[in-house]
Amino acid sequence: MTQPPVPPAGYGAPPKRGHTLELLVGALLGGVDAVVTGVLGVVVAGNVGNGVWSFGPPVVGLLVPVVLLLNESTRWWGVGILIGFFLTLIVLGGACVALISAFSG
Amino acid sequence: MYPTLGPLPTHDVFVGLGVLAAVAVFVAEARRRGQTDERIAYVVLGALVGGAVFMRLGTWLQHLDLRQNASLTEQWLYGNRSILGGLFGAWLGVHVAKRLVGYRPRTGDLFAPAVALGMAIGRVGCLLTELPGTPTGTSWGIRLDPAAAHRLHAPAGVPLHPSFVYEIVFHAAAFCVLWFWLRHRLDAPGETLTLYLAAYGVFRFAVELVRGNEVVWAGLTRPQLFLLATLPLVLARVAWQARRGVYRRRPVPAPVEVA
Repeated sequence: MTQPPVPPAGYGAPPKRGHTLELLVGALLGGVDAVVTGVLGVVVAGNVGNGVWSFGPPVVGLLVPVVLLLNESTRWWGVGILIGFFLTLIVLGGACVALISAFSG
Repeated sequence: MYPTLGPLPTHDVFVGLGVLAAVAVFVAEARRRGQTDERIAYVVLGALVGGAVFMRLGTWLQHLDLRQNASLTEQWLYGNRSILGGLFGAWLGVHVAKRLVGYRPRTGDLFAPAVALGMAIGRVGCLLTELPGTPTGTSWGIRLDPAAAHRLHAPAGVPLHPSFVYEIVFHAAAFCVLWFWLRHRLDAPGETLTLYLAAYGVFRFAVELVRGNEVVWAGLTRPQLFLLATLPLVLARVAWQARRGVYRRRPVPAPVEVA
């Protein structure tokens, strides 16, 4: 039976890889997700004539990162996208009201 | 017409800049304190979810008769955004996230300077787009032109308290105190956020007297009523911690001489 190669003395476990890239790119995607689904929501609600429908596209946009959270290999992408999504909700709080008012005429 | 900087809404530009500055301060402070556990990302997510939800829904309860309040949909889409609601939601979100991922160390010291700087910058957006305050006889009042006065339902040409300038000065000063002094001085983990929120609560209660928000009960505005319920709890905690000696500096042990 062959033994696995022993790492040379003085070398510890390989350094743990960080998740900065997934978080940063995910946050950017989350920002785009929030804007696109938010605008879609306003358009859909304007066409249907019921404000509740404005939540439809953003909820679908939130489902994707939530599903990514379930798998360990995609979890940090999910966290990044959710961070970007909610950060954008905070930053664009006022713009959202202006957009809806414009569409409402 | 909603004020814009080029094609971008003025208010959101400054909130965005405030958020960027807050992220930079948060990351720098986390590195300095060696709090680089990857679960911090979940804690930040908790703060953002809580902040985003409560800043929109925090002003929902306007009337004791619940039927007179807006529906949750109307409130989410058209309701006022509230800083106090957002701060409360972020605090709640952090605690829920920490419980869910089992992260025990205190994180308030990472948030305190970040929130202070973010608010100092973000409030510039409020200054440029919202009603500045109540009429004042002082020489530093802001006078609105007819267009801005019409948009904000305020009198034109009358000097108004620059309440957002007061708030910007408070948060900028708080950031300087936290960044250049208190974070190096205080040994107890998490206490800088408690002290900052207590100071902001007292300051905000006072600044509401000249903000121009609607007075709803006993001469108090809604933010003052919210603070009347929550601020005593924060102040009681500060007093309790002070009695326990938490804010006293631990003496540095004298160097041992080796013979």
